[in-house]
Amino acid sequence: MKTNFNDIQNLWQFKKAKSFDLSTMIDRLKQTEKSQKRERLVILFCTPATVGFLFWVMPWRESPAILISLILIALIMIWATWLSYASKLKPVDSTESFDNRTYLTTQIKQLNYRYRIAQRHMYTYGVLLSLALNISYFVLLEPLGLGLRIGIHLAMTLSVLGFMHWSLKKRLKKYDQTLKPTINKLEELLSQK
Amino acid sequence: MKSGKEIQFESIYRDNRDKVYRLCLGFVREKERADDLFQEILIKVWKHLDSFKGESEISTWIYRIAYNTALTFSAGEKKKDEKQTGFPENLDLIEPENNNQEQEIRLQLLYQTINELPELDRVIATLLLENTPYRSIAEISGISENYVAVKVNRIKNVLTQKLNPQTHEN
Repeated sequence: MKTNFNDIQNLWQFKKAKSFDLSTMIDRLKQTEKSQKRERLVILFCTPATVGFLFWVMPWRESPAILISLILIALIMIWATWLSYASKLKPVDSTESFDNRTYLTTQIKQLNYRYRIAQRHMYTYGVLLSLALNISYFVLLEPLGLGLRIGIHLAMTLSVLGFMHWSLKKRLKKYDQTLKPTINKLEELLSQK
Repeated sequence: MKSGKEIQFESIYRDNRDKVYRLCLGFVREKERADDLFQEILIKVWKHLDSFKGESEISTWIYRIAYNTALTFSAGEKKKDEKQTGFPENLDLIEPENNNQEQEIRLQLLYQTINELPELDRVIATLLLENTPYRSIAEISGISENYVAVKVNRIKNVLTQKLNPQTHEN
């Protein structure tokens, strides 16, 4: 007997969802939401606390250079925190007016933004951080000999930039394995439309 | 005592779970993954329920979340499947819930056929099988109603051909 499309629809709709423990899931979600809120508060607390600590231990009143250095570090930390929040995908699903095409476009944009942060901003972050530290060290190391001072400046700059380069390569490698295939697939889906 | 959000979520779940679950089965090959996807969609609905402004039907809103999640999920899962070339031979998609063996085999064939469609066609096929109007399909998938109509004809042909192999072989 030939199957027409109505039969296929009936066949499709025959399948029902299995029973699902909804209350356990809701309880877990509530717990997750609570811990996420706590994490966000910790991050929000950490940035001003670190900056406050630096202002407390560093003799910024005695030297405008140290003050500039600390302000620069504070700005870098705020910028890094903002970048971290901006790269989150969260707002993508929250808009009910998003159709599939807009969703895909936004997802691709957000995923590419993560790449861009790693590729461009991490080096900028490293350079600015070295600059800020070097300004402070320049003042703090004044009593030492010239050769030693240059050595410490170089060692610190190379350590910061080296660490930044290493973590950038590590992150890009991870993105190549996880984000890139997803971006490619989403772009392929978008081109079908 | 349950919050307003919990009550609303439970009501949404009761009204839409079967459709959403079937969508998952249309998008991923194995039952475990379909369950994971189903759970991921429920989590997203819960997370974004506060942002639902009532500008569209709640079912349309849920399908948008469901389809968008399914697309991203299958895009992410694809790379894990790269070494797999075909449909698993044991056809372990779902646990048979009825005694009608023939119906179960046909259902597995239907999932397989839908799973082999390109993603956009898969979205349209699953919506079509849920009797969704063309207008809503266009709204959810982000393509024009006319293009939906063109796609629907092709999908209907593919599905009926696959489920009537003997008719088309003759």
